[in-house]
Amino acid sequence: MSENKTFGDLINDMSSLDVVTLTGNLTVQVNDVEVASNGNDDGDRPLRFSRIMRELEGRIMKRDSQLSALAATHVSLDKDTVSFVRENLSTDEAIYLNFHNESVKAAGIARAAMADGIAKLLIGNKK
Amino acid sequence: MGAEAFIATCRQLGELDFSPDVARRALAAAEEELPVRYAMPFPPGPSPVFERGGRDMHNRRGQLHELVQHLTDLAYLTPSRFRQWHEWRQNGEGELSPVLLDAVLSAVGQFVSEDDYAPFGQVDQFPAADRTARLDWTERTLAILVHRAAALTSFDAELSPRPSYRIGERTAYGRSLAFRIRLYFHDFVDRRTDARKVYFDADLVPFLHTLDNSLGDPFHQWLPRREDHHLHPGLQALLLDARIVFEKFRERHRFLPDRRQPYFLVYDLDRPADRGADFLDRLSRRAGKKVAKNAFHQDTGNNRLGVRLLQLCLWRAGFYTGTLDGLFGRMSHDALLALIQQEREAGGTLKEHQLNRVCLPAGEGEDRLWVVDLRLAGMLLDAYMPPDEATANREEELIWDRIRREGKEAALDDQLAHRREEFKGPYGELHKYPDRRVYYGLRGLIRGAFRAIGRVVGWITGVVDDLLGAVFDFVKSVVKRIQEGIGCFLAGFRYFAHYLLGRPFVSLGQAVEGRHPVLLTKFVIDFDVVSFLDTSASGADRRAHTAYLKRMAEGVAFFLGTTVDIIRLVSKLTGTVGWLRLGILIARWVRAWLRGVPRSAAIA
Repeated sequence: MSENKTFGDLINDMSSLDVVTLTGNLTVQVNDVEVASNGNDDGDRPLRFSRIMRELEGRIMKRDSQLSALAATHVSLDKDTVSFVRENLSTDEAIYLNFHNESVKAAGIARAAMADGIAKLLIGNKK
Repeated sequence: MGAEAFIATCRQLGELDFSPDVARRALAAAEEELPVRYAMPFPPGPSPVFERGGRDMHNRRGQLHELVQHLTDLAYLTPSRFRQWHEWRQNGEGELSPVLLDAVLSAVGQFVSEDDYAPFGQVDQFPAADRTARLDWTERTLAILVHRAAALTSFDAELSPRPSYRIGERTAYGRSLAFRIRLYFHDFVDRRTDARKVYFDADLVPFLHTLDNSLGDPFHQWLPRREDHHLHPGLQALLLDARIVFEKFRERHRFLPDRRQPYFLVYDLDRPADRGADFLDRLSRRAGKKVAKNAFHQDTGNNRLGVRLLQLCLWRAGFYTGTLDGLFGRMSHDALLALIQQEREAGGTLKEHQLNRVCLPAGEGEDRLWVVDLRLAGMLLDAYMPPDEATANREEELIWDRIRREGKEAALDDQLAHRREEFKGPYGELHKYPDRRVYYGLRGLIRGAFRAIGRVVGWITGVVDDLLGAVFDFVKSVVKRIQEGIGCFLAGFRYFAHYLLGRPFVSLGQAVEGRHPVLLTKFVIDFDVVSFLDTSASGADRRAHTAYLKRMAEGVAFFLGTTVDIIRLVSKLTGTVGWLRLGILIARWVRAWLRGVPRSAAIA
């Protein structure tokens, strides 16, 4: 178990599902975020996830960040759901809601599988 | 990172330690170390195997080649497409033509739709259109696809007969039965057309009668009549297991191992004998007299079937890599001699004087023939018959024990990827001879390697150059294991990384002035989900990202479950384990599970 978190913390965290959709400005030039798997600048080029994440996190931390929360949904273990949607959405922004709702569905499916995976690891641990 | 560090990381994951440091090490292992060690790329997204250079992707490419061979044998791809595939392969595996790529992907889709193999029902559905999505799906499920297709084309009883099978049904199993009839009778002889019988149907029933007749009519009571819809399971078993065909042929002609009566096959080949010792000349003259006295003819049904069975056995034992056409030419002849030579070194089944009589030239000049005593050859080949799964695992252990005892495990770990080139020869120029087949039956390969472990060790140390036989079997069995096991693990680890280690799903939208909008979704272990959408992302970009998430969500339970089980398995390993050995252990679990053994039992 991680030193940072007790198992109880983990269980408490897992009892609800929070889905947040942010919008803002983050574009990349592909060359900036590709890396050759062999360390050379040829061959395979998987995306360099860490660089994208760093850029995004850097922007979130900035005071004048253009990032904003569009919608958030909280689903508790008993399936009670609370959603927040930013007021006065423009027509363009409203279409992001479909995306958010799809994310909530995908997250629900994933949660069951994630819980199952964790349970399996836990069972193996107890044997 | 060494294999032991990877095992230690799995142990921490098994203890639910998902801290950033452990996650970083796990990601580095699966996405960087394992791909290098096993020459198999970690799948970062859609879809690197077909579209990239492939320099460090031997195993995945190898798996694709195997899949294409199986799909051709099951008539999902035409022989012409198979030839094009090999031309592409021969030309350095650059960009694959969209037409050929679509043909392969369509074949995959049709195969999956016609087969009721349980794992196909547990993963997400094969995408109806969209080449990229189909590629991604094919790559994720490649190990499963290959395993299943290999079983459908195996002659090692990898499948059980189906009592509910109906003659003419349009299923992958129906194709599998048709393939066997084609192979025994005509498919690879003078083929000038792509037209083939795809499914086993009433038109192929007469061939079953012919086969039964050649074997002495032992299945008479099971042969279907015109009005029958079902095929007796006993007849299905005959087609699924080449060993039964050979046994029945042996019984019919009474050349059983415990009797002294020989059974001769003859073939015409203009090739001098390799050894000219007096006693061999005597044996040869004696064989010539027998041929003359008994008037053996090549063009009898029995001789043709016998030769075909011998060729099939040599193929399954790893000595023959040519076309299964029943024509006993130079390659078949050399394969038989290689078997005799390997057995001479391995010892055990036949004594020296018997080995000398297995294959002899007979007659002179234009009347010269080669004579094979199939009783003796069959006794040699019996030692190469695929054992049951438990025995195969045990023999595999013994091979690794021997390699470890000789202190060669680490050397093999380092060498195997570099020495793959040595095996190009036996595979031949497949674009010129597309009807050649490579044998992929795993238990048979392990048995072949086990039969002459000394040769395998000699090859590792560089003192044995002969590849056909045990060495060929060993390398193929290791590579196939790695492909299956590590392929499954890496495909599943993609889910593990996304859902349990916080690796974000990232899509890049269509570029505007050279810059791509970023769409990103991150799942966290405590089930929080954060999505970020760049405001310049178009509707098509959002739909693509949503479809990506949806696709991954549909397969998550299946792939995550597999990977978690493998991590548990690895976390329990103790002692010194090299990379190859680790790959074999993972593969053994994966194979048990693909064969339908429950996950928990496969781990136990």
